[in-house]
Amino acid sequence: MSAQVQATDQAILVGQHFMSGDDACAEGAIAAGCRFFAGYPITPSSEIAERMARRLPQVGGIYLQMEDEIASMAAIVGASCAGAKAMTATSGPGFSLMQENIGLAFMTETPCVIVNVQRGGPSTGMPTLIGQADMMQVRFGSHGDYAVIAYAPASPQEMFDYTIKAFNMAERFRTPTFVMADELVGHTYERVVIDPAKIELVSRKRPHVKPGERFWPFEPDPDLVPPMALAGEGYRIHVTGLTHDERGYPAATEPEIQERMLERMLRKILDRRDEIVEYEEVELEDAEVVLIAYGSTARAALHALRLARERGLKVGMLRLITPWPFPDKRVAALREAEIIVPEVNAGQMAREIERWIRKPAHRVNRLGGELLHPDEILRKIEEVA
Amino acid sequence: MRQEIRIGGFGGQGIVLAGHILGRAAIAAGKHAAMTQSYGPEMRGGRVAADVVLDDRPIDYPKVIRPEISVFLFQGAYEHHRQEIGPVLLYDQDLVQLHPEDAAREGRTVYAIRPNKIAEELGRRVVVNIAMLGALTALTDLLPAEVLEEAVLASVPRKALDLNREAFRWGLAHGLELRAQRKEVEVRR
Amino acid sequence: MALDLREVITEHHPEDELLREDRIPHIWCPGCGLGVAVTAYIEALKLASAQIPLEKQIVVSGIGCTGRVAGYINVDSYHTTHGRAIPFATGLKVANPELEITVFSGDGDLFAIGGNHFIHAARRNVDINVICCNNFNYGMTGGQVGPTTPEMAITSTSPYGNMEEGFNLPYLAAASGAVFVARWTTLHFRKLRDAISQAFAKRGFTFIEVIAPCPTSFGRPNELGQGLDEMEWYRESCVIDHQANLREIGLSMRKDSKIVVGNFLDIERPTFLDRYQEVMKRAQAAGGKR
Repeated sequence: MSAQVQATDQAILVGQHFMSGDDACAEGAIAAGCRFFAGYPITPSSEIAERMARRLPQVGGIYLQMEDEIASMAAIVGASCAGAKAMTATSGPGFSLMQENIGLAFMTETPCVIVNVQRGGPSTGMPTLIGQADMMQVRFGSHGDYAVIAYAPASPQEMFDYTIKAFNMAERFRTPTFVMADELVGHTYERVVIDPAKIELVSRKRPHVKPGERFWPFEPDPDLVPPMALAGEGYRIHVTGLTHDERGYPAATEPEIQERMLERMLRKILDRRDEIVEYEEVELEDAEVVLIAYGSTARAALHALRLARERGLKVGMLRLITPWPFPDKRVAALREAEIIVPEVNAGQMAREIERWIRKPAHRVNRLGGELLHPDEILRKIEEVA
Repeated sequence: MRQEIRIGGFGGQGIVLAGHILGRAAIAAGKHAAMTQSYGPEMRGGRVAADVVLDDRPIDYPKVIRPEISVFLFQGAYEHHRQEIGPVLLYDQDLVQLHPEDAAREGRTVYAIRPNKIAEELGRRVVVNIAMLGALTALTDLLPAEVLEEAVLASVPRKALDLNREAFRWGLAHGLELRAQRKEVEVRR
Repeated sequence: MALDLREVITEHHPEDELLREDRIPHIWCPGCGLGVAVTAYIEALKLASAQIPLEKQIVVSGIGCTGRVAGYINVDSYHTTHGRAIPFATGLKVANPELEITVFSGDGDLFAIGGNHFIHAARRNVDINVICCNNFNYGMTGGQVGPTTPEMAITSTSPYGNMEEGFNLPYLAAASGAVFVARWTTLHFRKLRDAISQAFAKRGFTFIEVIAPCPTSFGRPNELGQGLDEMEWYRESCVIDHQANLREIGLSMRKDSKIVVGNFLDIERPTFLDRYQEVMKRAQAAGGKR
């Protein structure tokens, strides 16, 4: 179910703003219909919580500051089961604590959005400074196999746009989705244009039958996504994090049900990867050297690219907007070029990229605390060109 | 054309708000703007810098690489960033003591401004940032003064509109005066 | 006339409407106290159904033997992760205040891994009911020591006796901010049912501790005997004292000790949502989009 937002919706701050990425993320959530936020303060994402605490009561939503990030994640899964569009926001240490109930959200097919404004890690690391080192954690952090939809916004405008998109994808696929921001994009102020005409919203599918009729809460439609009954509607559903059958009943000792249910939950997302995957191409047509970057690092890379082009070097860039699902086909098609992968980590997405280009990439890494300088990337371009 | 401005001061001077107003004015004027911030290790009262990038085309790298204009309202911020000062330097002469070699650099224009004094004379030191913005507007050609003034008034509490308008205009007049003086000196040369 | 057993077997159980028949038989051991607690809950659901329609009744569990309760009761039911039933229920409740939410879980789930959530939900006075079946050990995983295991009790991970003191749950709940606090045993079926009914009627965070036998894992090594033996011991050792000093009602579960039971606390305090309404009014009165 998709719909245009109402241009008159008081909740949406129509117009042009000079706004931080964190604030834009909160406004995107509200524009997407998020009316429940549970979180725990943590730098550099606290501004999202602060804005939600101020804004949600104005628009009839709930802001709940929980005792920790475990509880925050559990609370948004609960709120979503009651029908709310729900979100939490955190950074590395909190993201680690959320992994448990991210698994619950996936297993119970409960839509929700998790924002990670990445800082330097591991552990407490560098709370106020940038990192991009949770890119593999978002893919594999919770136990078991699951499929992930994650966005890596590179500007406050994208924080707004892709938070909405994260909600839409969460609702469409009944799954947790992620906004993998970083400290710089969270704290940078830039123009954010909020135009209701450009906002499209998606809501989860609802049961096709009335309460009392035969309804199995995990029986999928042909798109492999089951319609979702909410708590208190009278469907008398059972929802469990145990392996369960279509009725929702535990089947924790039945491998064939695990096989059937989990395969469907993976396929409902991965079969649609072409509709989910997003990237931006910059001057790839004649590129002999290709930068593959995401988040704030892509902006340093773009600066380096422009300088390199001024010097006559044939450089292009592929910016990953969805690091997950990974744009495998597009990346594989670039394998003839020299590939440079700048990231603020020890080489995380580079591993995935190398799998698809089937050769080592030229890695440019910072371990956290500082964004790569365009000059560092430029030097690497000149070295490999 | 990409222009980079760094405003340095200490926590409580409204440095980030000043950067925000500058960025806000720029986008109102149809430019692109990005502001980032940096802090010293202190929780309160430490150095802070608001770095603003302005451009006519979308901004790629949002951080300042080599500021064209640096403004300092605090010795600590000046000391921390002094290796990156570019062709234009503004400093509050009542709050910052310049190293002589910074003042006399070839190709650098230096203005000793007094926003803190203006704020004190207005009876509210909190408007030092707004007085500084007035001076900055007068001494550079970043943006038209009306656009800046509008952004100032849209960013401050309603009950403090008059105070801030006055601070901005006083800073602007002060800046114009300094600019005129410099011109005179240049002409005499 | 010979009794037709098929007829007896297929005859409806009085609680069938509220049990998920297709999930029976349950996984609990013979002599376990959980069946009694579930029955008391179901009876209370029925008694309250004129005021609270069954479709608004929600049960949320964590993990463990008691955690399985959610799977057997035929209302909307959520079986969450270990220790997280309370924050999950908090999200459900505040997102839809019409729901009557009961967290049904065990002592390990609620007070070890979930202890922090318990005290904070009580402090917030979020309007949910928490029923803790306390059987003093981690039964499902083979009887390990837990947060309510009494001092020197024998479990599979305290084979020489538990060196720690167990929590005194009613005292903890009251200190944390619960507005209704009770303790009964599975022997006190009607008292337990009535306490649950009271909890349904009560606005705010309510807590009921249900002392339950776990003959398989806790009763045997601690000389409490079979389930029935333990129930008999409850009859001998329980003292009803609604006015009890909560500080003094910790449990040793030794044969020579007493178990103080009762409805200990019933007070009024604004709930989280009561205060949130006030906050929303202020936010909306402040007006402006920021």
